Amino acid sequence: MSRPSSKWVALCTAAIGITYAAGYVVTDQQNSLASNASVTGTHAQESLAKKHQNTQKDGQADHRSNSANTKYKDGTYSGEGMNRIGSVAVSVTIKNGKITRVQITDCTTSYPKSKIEQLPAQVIARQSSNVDHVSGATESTNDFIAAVTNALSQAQS
Amino acid sequence: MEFERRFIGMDTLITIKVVSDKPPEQIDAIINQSVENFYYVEHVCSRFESDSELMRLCRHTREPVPVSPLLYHAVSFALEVAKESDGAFDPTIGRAMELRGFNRNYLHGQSISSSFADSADVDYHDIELIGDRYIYLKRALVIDLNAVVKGMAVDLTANAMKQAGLANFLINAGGDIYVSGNNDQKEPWRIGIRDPFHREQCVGIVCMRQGAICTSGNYERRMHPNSEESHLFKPNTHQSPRGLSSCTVVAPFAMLADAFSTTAYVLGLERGMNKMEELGFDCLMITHTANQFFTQKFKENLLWNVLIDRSFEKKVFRQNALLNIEKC
Repeated sequence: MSRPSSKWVALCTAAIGITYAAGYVVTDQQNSLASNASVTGTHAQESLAKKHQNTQKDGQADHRSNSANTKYKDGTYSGEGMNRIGSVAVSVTIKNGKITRVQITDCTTSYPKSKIEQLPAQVIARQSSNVDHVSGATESTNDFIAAVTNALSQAQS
Repeated sequence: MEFERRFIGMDTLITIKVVSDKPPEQIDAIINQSVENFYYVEHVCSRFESDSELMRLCRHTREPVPVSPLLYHAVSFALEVAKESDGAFDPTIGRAMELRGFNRNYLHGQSISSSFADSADVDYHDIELIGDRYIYLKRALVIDLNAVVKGMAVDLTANAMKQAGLANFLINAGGDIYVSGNNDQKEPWRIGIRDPFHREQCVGIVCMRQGAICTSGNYERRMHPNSEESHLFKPNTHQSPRGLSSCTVVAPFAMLADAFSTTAYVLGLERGMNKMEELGFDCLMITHTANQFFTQKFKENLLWNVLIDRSFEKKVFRQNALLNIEKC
């Protein structure tokens, strides 16, 4: 690598360091504007719990203003769809009426590389024999939308 | 052993590879913990959710708003890039993005329309930072952090994985890549740069042990299938630059590579290349006519490797991939 300007390295080191150290903090502005209080936490599990509490608070606030956000039932749903890759399966997790996770189910658990032949051929083709991964313009998730929509149709309340 | 995880986040496909001798359960637990960063960054900084912290901030004009450290640093970084590029990069283009059709939440398909921010001539000077916690918007606008936060999520995830004791890994968020250590061959990670004209192929390979690489291009996100207009445009004219097909930047942080590949793309060939040389980032630009331009040290620094046989058919391509994988 060339010598990147030290200003930018310092800037990013600080930004990532401080953000990481702060943990999962979501400032609830409606509250903090009134009471000047914010929700803080550490990187431990408790912070995640707080984050979820916070999410829930937001969700309730929305319930009054926007019913569209509560149209899904909590739970985990799987869906399948066809696309240019072939058949794709996803699992969609809904929490507090919102989509919180979309995992690609045939690849979500860690596995030794010997099982990789089971991946759709084109996924492998895209990676090529010579490279570990490919850098290109951000790929869209269009290939997976049919599967996600399928899962969401089961989550409709 | 090599482990891999794939999931969808930030409207793209995210892959994490880990090479480690630790027990699989432990790797799984570390990955689970680390990828929380992606969900967290998306939760806070999404322009497509009306109740994300970012969008709640945007609805407060002319009052100081306390924000989380993540949002503060993402905005602060975006403003620095805007200054550095004299506005070629501008985080106030959110409403313009919506009007270009980049307004739908990729998961549930609902679109967002921030009509409160319809004053057309906002720019980055309309955002002010106060102290180290408050953001003040002088005028109604929608902040777009999409050229920053994917990289930032990658950097935070990488940080978490290093803290958890992993040395060899790769994180790819839809082409925005960070690598650390070696691949499963005990060699530096080999990253292909996608050929914008033959997307199943690469124009060449770089080798990296530590750092980030990101490519901006007009070929994945167009406004319309046949349009020259894409998600990349000049903030002052609202037109997509015409000369370049892709721009790849290598930097120590993914947030740098992410933001500056967009910036250099918008600056165009000459100004973009000059800026990258000035800042010391390796850069490769591919023009609409398929010409390649490199910063002076690019090939040397990254052991640039041109694929010898670029005519391989998909079938051969696929078979080789399978053979290669079986050998491991």
